[in-house]
Amino acid sequence: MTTNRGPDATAMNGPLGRLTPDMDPYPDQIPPEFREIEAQLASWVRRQPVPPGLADRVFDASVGLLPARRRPRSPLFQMPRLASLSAWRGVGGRLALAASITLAFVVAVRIMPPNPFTPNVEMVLLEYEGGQRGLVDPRFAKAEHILMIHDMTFGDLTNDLARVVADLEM
Amino acid sequence: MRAGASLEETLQRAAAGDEAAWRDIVEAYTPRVFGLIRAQCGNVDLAEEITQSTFCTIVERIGRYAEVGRFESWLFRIATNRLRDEMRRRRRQAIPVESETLVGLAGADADAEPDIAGSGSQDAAALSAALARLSESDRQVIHLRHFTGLSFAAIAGILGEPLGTVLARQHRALKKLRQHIGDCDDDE
Repeated sequence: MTTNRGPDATAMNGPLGRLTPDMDPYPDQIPPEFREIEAQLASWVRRQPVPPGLADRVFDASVGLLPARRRPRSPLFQMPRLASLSAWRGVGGRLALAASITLAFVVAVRIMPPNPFTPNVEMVLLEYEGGQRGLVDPRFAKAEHILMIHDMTFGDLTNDLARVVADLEM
Repeated sequence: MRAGASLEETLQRAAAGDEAAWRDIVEAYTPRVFGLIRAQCGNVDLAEEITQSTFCTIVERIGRYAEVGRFESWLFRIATNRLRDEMRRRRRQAIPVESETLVGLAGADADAEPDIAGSGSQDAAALSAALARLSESDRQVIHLRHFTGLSFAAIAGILGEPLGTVLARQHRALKKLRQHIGDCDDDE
């Protein structure tokens, strides 16, 4: 076993602070001819300057974040976090959670783009109402029979729509 | 560290909110974190910024790592990762410049840091030059080993590399350093 222990422990007690005392020695296979370069490296590391007052600045920037020093946020501005289940334990809390989820679902449905392969029945119905008033877009002339939906069952309507889609695909 | 207090005790006191203990930790490790980052990026301001940011992260979660071995690995891993992220960010935002400009900047940096170029011994200058000729991965192992004082196993953990790879890099780096310094001596 060589006694070469890499960075010089005493050297590291200089401007670069303390060295962990239990640092492992280099493995046996590191040849002793590297000792000189290791000593040079330790010396080089020791000479690296540290800006004056750096530790003070680091301390000042971080001390306010010490666990015991963190100030609790003002209750006035404190919002319950979704991740915190305890905030949702009461009956009112559960109702609020359910309302939030419902609202989110409704908003998501409203903003989702329509599937291009799903016939837009609402549009056809609107056009039907327009047709009653003689405002049908000529582009819908081929699908005019669909405008008679008031006499159709739901099954008839879906069959006709499926036919239109098939025609379009051809 | 207070006389007689172990690092582990100091960490636990800091985790409990003891400001004096936290100051001890900052004073003990700031130079090593700064030295490591400064050696890797060559920029004093960036090194200071990353050092501060690292300690701000550390202090918030210090209670989870109040064991010496884990703490040191964690500390230097955060610092190293932060530098890597910052360098990636800068690379993404980098605007190509003329090579003459880069040479000018390098010259200015050397003037600002006499430890490398000016007042240090010739040996130190030769060593700096030799380090600069190493590949980034080889140089990183040397820096981690000498600035952090961590074990090779811990360094392997920080780099996410197998221990054997780290040892091989260290060996190769030392060999090249010796060779490069020898080349410098021959030139003189």
